[in-house]
Amino acid sequence: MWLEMLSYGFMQRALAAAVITGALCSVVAFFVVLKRLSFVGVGVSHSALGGVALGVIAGVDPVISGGIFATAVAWLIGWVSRKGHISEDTAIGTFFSASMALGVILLGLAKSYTADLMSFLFGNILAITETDLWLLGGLSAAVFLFVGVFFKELLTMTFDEELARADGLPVGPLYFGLLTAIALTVVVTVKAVGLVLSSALLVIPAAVGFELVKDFRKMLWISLATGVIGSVSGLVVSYYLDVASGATIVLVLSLIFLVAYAVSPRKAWVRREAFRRSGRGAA
Amino acid sequence: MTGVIEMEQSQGPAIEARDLSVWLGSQKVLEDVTFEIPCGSFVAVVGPNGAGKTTLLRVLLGLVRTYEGSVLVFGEPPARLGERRHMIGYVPQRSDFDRRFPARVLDVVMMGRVACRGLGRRLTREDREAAERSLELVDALGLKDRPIGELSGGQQQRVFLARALCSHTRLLLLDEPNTGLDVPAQNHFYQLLHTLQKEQGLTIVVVSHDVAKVSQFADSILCINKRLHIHAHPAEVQASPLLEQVYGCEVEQLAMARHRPGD
Repeated sequence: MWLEMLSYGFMQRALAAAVITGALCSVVAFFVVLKRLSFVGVGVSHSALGGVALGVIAGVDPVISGGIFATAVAWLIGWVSRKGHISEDTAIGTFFSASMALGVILLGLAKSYTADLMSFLFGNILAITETDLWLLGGLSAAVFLFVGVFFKELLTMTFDEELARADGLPVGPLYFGLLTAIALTVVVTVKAVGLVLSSALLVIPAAVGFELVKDFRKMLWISLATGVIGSVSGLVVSYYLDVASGATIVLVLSLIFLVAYAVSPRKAWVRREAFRRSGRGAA
Repeated sequence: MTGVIEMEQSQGPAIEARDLSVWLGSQKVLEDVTFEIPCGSFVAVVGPNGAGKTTLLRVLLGLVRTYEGSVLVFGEPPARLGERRHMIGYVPQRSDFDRRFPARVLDVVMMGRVACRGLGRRLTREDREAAERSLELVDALGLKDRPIGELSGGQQQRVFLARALCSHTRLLLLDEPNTGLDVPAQNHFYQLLHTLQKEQGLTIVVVSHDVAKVSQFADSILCINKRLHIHAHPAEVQASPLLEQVYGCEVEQLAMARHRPGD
């Protein structure tokens, strides 16, 4: 049965894409969850539709145009919220609906088979080509390299930005680097789960780790395992049930999160902590 | 390390401000402030809320650069300290980190080594040992494997002190380090600072609005409310009528300050 599934070329490529996507998303999700950037993830992923549509119209690979566009939007969100004239959530809410609207109109105008709106929104992992895989691999390698080299700087910034700045760390460039990593990760997930569902992959794996352990190293490993296992098993389940693969991956991940939340030692700890503080004061 | 100390001694004062005026946006927060802080001294910066105390620290840290006049830390403007920046340790009022952040105490202290190790470089055993030494200095080595969020406020503040100490720290800047701590924890913390000053020869600048508390430990007190009003020994400051002028209506606190314990 397994062998039969693996004998199809499209399934081999889909599995490879699921592993890459799951691994990449879970590493980026680690920082998204700890730095509370999940709404940035939602905003950037939806905004990418505008860039994807521009690519379709201009005849450029939508992953490349979407990547550039998503990065630009992520920087704009970062810049606006740093300057403080508009609040971050207002900025995200505005950008993401505007560029989604742009994307829908452009894709409507394109009227071609390649410009299938649904496949960009919800993914079509079974249609992944070898060229797509190389592109996914390249983008993922770039993001992995950035996170790997600057992991402790990113962690220090995530823990307390003001302290990191006082230490002399380049907090601004690190933050924009992280936003770029989020944007590139979003476009990597386009084929696998689609833009609408990609924000789930940018949160859930790390959220599972966050619920289960209190050490960031273990959290990172659990996140990685959840991302890869969730993506691969979601794909396999969707193959046998003959349902949409992107949505199945997200549902499997959500199920893992529910289980993690149910058994989370944090809940008991939070209750104990609340009791201790109410009983003995802040000291 | 000895090289650093010699350099520091040959350079005169740890901090030197001359006619320093600072703007935040269009607002002038500090005006014509001039003072000198010698190496190895314990100086308290007091003043009412909004007096510019925190801004002064942020200028010294190089985080606020919209100023006129001159300010030198170890003989250099804060923005041009380079490697010597790691001689400054900073303890914020209350770190706004997420109490559920999955890090152990030792991890948090080692974050203080990240910047001085250099971008993209891995932390080594040396960094770990430095972090453990500074935890020992603040009497918190026993907490090193505990999750940071599970500590009490006083313990957390000592961990942040250890984080500030673990680079090549010669100057400690602290911003209202006692916010939210109970009295025994406050006393313990100031005692610790006092010991660090005496035994490690650190220069300590602590921002506070609690004149009474800092008077017990400080060598001198900088009294600011936009301008520098007094820079003198605690006893002189408390005897001065200027103090009430600086604080305006907060006279009750001053009454308490005059009955300082140990006088």
